[in-house]
Amino acid sequence: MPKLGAYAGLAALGLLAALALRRPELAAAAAPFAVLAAVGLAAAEDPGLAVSLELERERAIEGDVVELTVRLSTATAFERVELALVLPRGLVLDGADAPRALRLRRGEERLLSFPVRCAQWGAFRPPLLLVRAADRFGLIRHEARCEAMPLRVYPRPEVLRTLLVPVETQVFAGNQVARQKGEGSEFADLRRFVPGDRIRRINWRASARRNELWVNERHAERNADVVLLLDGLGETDRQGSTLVPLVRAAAALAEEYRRKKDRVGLVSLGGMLSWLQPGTGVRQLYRIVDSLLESGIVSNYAWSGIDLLPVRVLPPQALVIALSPLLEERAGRALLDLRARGFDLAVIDVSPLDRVPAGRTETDQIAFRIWKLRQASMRSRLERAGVPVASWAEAKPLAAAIEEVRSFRRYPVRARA
Amino acid sequence: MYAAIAADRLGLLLLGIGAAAWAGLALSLAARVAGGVPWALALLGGEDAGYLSLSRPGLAVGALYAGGFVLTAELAYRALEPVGVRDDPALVLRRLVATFMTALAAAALGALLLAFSNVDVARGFGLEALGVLAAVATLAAVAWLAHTRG
Repeated sequence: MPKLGAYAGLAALGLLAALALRRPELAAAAAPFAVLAAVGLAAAEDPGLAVSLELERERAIEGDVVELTVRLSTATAFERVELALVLPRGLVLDGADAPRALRLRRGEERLLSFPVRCAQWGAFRPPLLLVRAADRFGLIRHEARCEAMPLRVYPRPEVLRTLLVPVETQVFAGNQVARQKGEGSEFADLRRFVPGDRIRRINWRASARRNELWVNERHAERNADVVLLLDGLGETDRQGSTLVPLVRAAAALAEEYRRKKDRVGLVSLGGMLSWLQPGTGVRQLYRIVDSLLESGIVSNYAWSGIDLLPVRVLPPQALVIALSPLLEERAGRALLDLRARGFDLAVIDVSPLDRVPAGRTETDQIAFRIWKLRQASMRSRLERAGVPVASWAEAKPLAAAIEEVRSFRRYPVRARA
Repeated sequence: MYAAIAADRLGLLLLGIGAAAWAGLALSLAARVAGGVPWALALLGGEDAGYLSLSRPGLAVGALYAGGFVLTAELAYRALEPVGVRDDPALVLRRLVATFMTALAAAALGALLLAFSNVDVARGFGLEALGVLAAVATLAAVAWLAHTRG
């Protein structure tokens, strides 16, 4: 209450000066301050100010606009109620200017809506509303604060029309065409009719040509296990961060494989080794995306290799898609280790090297060149081991990188030691 | 400024005090330091006190001083309100009117007090003591209210 103290002080000073100087004009100048302070204080009462802040929903997709509703109610009248909305970085007001002041009448309830745009994905702390209400003369202020619920903003998934087809499938029904023959829709082969074969599987044209009954064989349609391996070891949280494209690509792949009824798991290599066992369904997708949202940078010198992963996290015959900037030797070794264990492995390189400036000094430029050479060397080692590696930057569609890997896998490459 | 020009003597001193007061007020507002405003207003009051005791102006000037003083204080505190907070359009006009009405009421109160002070009554120690008592009682009432309601 700086104003109340100032008015009381000015009144005291003026009245004392009036007495000392024996001038009534000074008392006349000081008296209004005393009266204002007295009236303001006498009119003060319990404000009964209630504030609540509600978000329209707890989850949103990057770019969505979420309505933030402020509910204000008061038992007494307030001449001026100031509102200040504190939004975490990544959430911005969409077209509205939130900090505003308004008047509240006695017993009035006001609802204010602010559209908030989710500019970035992430798990955000709750938006905060600070309220300061002042009486008619601005002498007494009441302050309140309240928080909304936390908001989780999921990355906008990339549209992927094609995905990497796993070499091996699992035993459950799905949308992947298995190498094994069975019930399905994709043609596999022809064979002679044997008792017990369904009539509808007879290939009448082939049978007419051979004068005996032949039947069509089809590929079974099964599901696959897909493990997304996120390499956060090269993350620096500076220019050329790889975490954002890593998470965006992982979310897109998880969504598309889930749609194809495949089991999707997640392994995160970083300061801490973390994982999610493969699973199916929307719940697993949310689990994966929630885990991705909480991805951050943790400094840790203790290397936790993939040897520590439980067997169920990397199931046999799983397709492992590694999203890596290929900047860390440890990550490269882990990928080669996976390949050596016989996993169907593909690497999407999200290297920031093309976005990072080479540096100004000669030493910086030499260091940058060495960095690039090391990355090229790692990439070459992976390719020699028969691992397809495709580069991807956020500026181009992920589908292009997927297609690059698909074309690599279309032609068998002899692995060299 | 008016006090310095209209004063019969010590005009330069009053000008100095007034200039210091306005400079202090401008600095406080520019730096958004609420604590500096009362000191600047006190200096401004000092200039007015000097003028009033030296020149003995009439009732109208005294009332004008009372109103102007309150108006200055109100506007100074309004200027210290958060910059980014936009008032509702209806509130802007209402507050402006309220500020000027407060200043007008202060001028009226000042005029009333000055009019009472001009009434010729028997002077003496008793009356003076009553005046002191009234001033102390006013301040005590404000302090008590601030303590209980603040």
